[in-house]
Amino acid sequence: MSAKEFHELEMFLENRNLLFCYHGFLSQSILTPLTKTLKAKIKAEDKPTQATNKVLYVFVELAQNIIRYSAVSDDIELNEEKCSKGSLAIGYYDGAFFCISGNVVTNRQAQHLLNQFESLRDKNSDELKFMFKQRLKDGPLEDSQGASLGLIEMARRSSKPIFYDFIDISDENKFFTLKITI
Amino acid sequence: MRIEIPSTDATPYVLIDFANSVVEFAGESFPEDAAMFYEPLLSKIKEHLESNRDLNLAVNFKLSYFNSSSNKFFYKLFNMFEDASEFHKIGVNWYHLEEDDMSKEAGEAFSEEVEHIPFSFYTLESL
Repeated sequence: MSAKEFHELEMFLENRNLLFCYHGFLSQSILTPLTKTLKAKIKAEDKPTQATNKVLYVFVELAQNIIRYSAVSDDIELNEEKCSKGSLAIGYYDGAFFCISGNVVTNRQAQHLLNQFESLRDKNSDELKFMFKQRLKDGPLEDSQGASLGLIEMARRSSKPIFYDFIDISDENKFFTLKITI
Repeated sequence: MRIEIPSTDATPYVLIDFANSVVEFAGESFPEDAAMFYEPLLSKIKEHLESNRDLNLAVNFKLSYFNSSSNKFFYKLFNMFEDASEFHKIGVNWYHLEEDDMSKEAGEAFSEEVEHIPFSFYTLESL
């Protein structure tokens, strides 16, 4: 990649209102200091505390989902930590933060995710709160009913319906993106 | 029994001090493997509660942030306290930032799940 191309990439990202964009290998060891810096950076931007806390929550949840579930992971020695490939971005547009994640998933994972998004569709905050309490009681999501605690919690912090997309990249895999607007 | 674990950037300060009747979690909680962090602590607390009677316990939650996997362990913890309430007196003090509705709601969700553990809610300017 030439300097010109790298600059073009930077301009591409800046023009899309991104404050931060990360692509590549991701682990808890990267996430922890990143979150600490992000917290300080967002606080310095002087946005409302509620919004700041929600952004951080969603950012960490998205990142840990990539680490845990990305279909592309590396076998490295890192204190038994998982290292996976994905992309994460945070932006600010029209008075609101947004977080985007992207990673490869298997077709099976994609179907499982679609089922979860379906169960979250058109739910208001009271209904989501109910789903949250129910998921706590019922334990981890085993079958195709309902959504995982993490997804429900992100939906609760989202000011708009969750935006998601799956792009076919091979016979076995899709590229999954998720956008949460705070 | 006394266990004190200093906080890290991704795990909370933990104090389990039965002699002084207090269990406390403070800071942030987003470990990669919440089970690895919380299971041993839950086991130790459970063991102590089962082998003693008539203890008084104040459980302080001062967490500015916790991820969904930590949430699951707190739920387990509260259910454990509920079971133990037959033989012990346990109360929870839930602290949250004034503007943090989600943390308050998380505490309220836990309090609605237990019948014999009173929850008291407090707001703080910073955590």
